[in-house]
Amino acid sequence: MYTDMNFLDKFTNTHTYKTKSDTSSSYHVFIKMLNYYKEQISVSEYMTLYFFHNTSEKCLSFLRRKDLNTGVIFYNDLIRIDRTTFPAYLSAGVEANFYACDAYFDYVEHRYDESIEKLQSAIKYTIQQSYSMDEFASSLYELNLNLLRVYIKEKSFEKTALKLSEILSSLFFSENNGSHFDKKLNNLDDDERLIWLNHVINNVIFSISELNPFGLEVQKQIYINALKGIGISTRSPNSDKLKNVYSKLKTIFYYLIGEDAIFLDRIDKDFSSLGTVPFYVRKQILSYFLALSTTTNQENIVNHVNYLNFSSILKEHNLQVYEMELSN
Amino acid sequence: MLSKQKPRTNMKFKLSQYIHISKDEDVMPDAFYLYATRTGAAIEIENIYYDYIHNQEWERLPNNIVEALMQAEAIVPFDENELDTIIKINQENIKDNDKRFLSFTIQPTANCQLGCHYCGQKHSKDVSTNQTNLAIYQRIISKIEEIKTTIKQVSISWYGGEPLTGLSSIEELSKLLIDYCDQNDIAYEASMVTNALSLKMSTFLKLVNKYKVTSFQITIDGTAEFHDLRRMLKTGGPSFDIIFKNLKDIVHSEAYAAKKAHIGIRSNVDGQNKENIFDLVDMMHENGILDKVSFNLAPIHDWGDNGASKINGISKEEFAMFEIDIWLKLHSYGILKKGNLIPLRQYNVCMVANSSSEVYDAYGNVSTCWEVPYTPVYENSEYYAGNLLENPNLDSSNVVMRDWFEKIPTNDTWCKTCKFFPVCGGSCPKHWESGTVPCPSFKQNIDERLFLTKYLSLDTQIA
Repeated sequence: MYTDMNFLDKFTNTHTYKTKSDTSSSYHVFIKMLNYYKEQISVSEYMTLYFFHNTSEKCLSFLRRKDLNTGVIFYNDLIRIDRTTFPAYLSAGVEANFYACDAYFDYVEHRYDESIEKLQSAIKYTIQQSYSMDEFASSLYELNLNLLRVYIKEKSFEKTALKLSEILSSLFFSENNGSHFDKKLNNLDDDERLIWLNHVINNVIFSISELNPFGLEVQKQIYINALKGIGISTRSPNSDKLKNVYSKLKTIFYYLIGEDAIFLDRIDKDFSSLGTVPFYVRKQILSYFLALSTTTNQENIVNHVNYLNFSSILKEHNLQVYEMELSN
Repeated sequence: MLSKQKPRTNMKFKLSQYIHISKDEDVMPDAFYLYATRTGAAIEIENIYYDYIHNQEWERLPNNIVEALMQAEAIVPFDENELDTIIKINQENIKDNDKRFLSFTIQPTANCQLGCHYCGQKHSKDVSTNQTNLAIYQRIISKIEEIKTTIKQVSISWYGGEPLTGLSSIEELSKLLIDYCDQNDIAYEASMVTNALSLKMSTFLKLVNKYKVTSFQITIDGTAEFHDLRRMLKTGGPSFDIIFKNLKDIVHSEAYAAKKAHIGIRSNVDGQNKENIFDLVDMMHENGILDKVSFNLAPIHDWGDNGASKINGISKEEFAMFEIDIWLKLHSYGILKKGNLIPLRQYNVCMVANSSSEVYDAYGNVSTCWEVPYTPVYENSEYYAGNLLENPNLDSSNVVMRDWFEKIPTNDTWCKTCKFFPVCGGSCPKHWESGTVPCPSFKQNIDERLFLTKYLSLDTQIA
């Protein structure tokens, strides 16, 4: 029953609010901002700001479910709020939140140029706010991911590959070039980078490979170009925490460029660490591996040295091919 | 449509009119429940904040409480007309759903083997003909075609009379509709309300596997002693043993265990049989049925002009308390789910408020409420939109009750001032139209539901 519950319904019955043992803290950057400035904000301002944020979240929740008529009711509430009266020290954060929501409204209405324009505004305001509150900077990854989603919808092959390359370069190598990134991102520690890597990579592979809007050949070329763009075969990140994910992307890269022997060798030598990389990276590697095994007979899956580990991962990823092999 | 309303500056906030506060010193000495019906959120708050909330002294509340209340829409903008907001959201959400989902009720037969005293229908041997089935099929397809670029799912509810006495029509129509949906990449699902007298295993399997009926509602009004007094055959003979055996066979089958279908048991309750429902629950438990089905109660209501609620009547208060007692009984068997106790936000009231949902009977008549077909008092009434055999393109958009939400602010119901309106929607427009008050039981037992939820949570923690 709970699987079909929407945002509002999920909230039902599950939240109790007590100051003694409160566990309700939200991790949305806007709420962090309200907490950051809470000593300076009046109760009235706080309530209006929270109403603003809550309205944008409810708007988004309906838009995400394609309930566009319902979403517009909350959107109308959102644009009615006079944002000019908010304190100057957090007005950029407010604008960033507003334009991110506004951009999504355009996105679901297929107005991609407008959506990109508004995401660029959201990025500009996010960078502004990050100069008074560091934590704002990491939202740039979400906004860049949103840009990438629009490029995918536009079926813009070059922009998709370039944006993916830019995000990965920022996360792995702190290369924050162009107007969509900022040197403030250099301050992120490796744990935070790893969280964003998981989020970005899972979402990108899902949007490109699972939904497959480009077709298989273009999809492959996007990954190759993006990975070439970060210099995947010529360098590695310094951080040990990031090396494993990077290494698996490299393994994918070798498959994509047709270096099957290197691909298989890398899997054999480094199989155990596969379990710790983003879900869709695992799924891609396993899918490629199975495709290769089936077509070349180079690998007897059932006799594979990592058989037990492999079978449990395959089950987790709903890869049926291997189940068929098992039953033979 | 984008707003041209004036901007909100220097916003002020008020306590929503759509809240219910439950306080009980014995059950929760340190806290109270605030149930916000605009979202269906039940929030447990420490007593020390009660006065601040009641007096709307927001500045005296901690931020996390303010946030919770605002998220639950228990605190809302001061200038908001909340009833307008609720109705607008409902209407727009229905429009959103009407683009993607179509639901129809088909009553393919006027026949039923039972002679329940509370049923308002007049039964006959009539079953829809091939010609009527074709007209119904073409009507549904025309509705699908109207939204062919956005539709995702078609849902059919089979009802009667007893629908299984019209099995051939169910088979014919199901096949046509499933084929059409398969060819057009539209999801198809079906449910059935049945007395289960003819629901043998082979029929169940055919309905599930071939005709995609995945949800069944079966009415059992107690053990044989009481059920057979109320849901007897037309000849006066008993029906309980056959129904119970069919039910038992099905829930213990492999197909049922594979979760291909779900059965809900409903007991229609009045003063005559209510105490016996406990015995029915025991019996279902002893036969390994109770944990495999859902179980619901409904008070006997007037159907058409039959005045059924007056015979052995049960008051709303009595029914509400009885419902809690039954839930405690279900809890004693470990099958009560707390997620079912607190009503969720309802954006719609029933199919009548959708733009395209329709009910078809065995003669090709089109209405918008499944209580209408075969009920003599509604013959030739405003509840019918027309007949498909006479006019395949008839317009049902203006049939009475379609504009339910539009009329709420001015009609004779008290929904416009009821704090439970967002989670109820008016319950049953048809009953209001007929002069019966259909307010749901939670209006009477919401406090008990909230505390029972708390009790279940504590029980889970202890376990």
